[in-house]
Amino acid sequence: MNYKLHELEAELKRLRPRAPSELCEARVEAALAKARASTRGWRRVWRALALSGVAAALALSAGLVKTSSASAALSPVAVENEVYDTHEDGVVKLADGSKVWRTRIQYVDTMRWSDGGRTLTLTTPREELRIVPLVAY
Amino acid sequence: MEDTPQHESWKDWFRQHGPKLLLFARQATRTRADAEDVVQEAFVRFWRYQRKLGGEPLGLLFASVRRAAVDLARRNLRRAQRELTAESELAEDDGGLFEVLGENDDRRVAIETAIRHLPDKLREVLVLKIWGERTFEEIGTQLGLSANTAASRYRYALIALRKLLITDNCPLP
Repeated sequence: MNYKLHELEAELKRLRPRAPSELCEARVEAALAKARASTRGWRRVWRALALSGVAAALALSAGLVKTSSASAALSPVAVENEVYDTHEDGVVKLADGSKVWRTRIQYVDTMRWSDGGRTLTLTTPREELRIVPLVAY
Repeated sequence: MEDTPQHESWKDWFRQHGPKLLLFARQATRTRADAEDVVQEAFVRFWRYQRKLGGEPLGLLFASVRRAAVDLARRNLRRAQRELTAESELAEDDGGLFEVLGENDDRRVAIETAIRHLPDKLREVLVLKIWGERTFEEIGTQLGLSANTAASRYRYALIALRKLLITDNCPLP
């Protein structure tokens, strides 16, 4: 490049792009806070479901011991899967370096046993990861 | 380009890189408000999902801004077909691209006007090179060009810009 172009280039570099407005920054802050709150909320539900699952499992094992001796064993009567939430992680990089689009689908699985009179319900959280390979991104 | 550690505040990052992202977004949007929408969308997506990918974060952000601008342009086109004219949208454009220069602001205005008259493909490379501080190789990767083509477009942009500034007889710095 000749001298005149270098001069122009130097002049351009001295110009400072205008910053985004405070309103824009506030909107980014609100969007990120909303995202964090959503993640925290799901974690709380997840923890509660996990605890109830453990409690139910303990109750089940205790119940099975009792009923086996009483010859009135609980038998499964229902299994349900409910989609609780879906979350797009977007593009993520796997360990092998390939890029994929990842979606998290969170379920609540419910299993129910009954011996005719008594009912035992076990609720457990489950997360399914779906990944779609990206050929070009 | 530095990495983005997890503990780093998004505000520090946004304040450091926001101006160059906004300038880049404005090359592909009609108004400053549209450009801010694009920057917001791209930055939130980047901060939530993409910064953990590793690699070169600013490159990802520029790519994300470009994609968000294209999406917005498509939406605006549909909206414009329904209710708006190009003139009314152009009239919405507010504020300059660069910070006001104290004693020689006429020159800044002239440069901004000249930049707006550059063909899109030259303007994009110029902005990424000068204010985005990207290498020709990075620009090429981002725009799907060879590094040589990016370098040529940059040179053409400077030549065209200089010609426009001389033709308009704008004040020298």
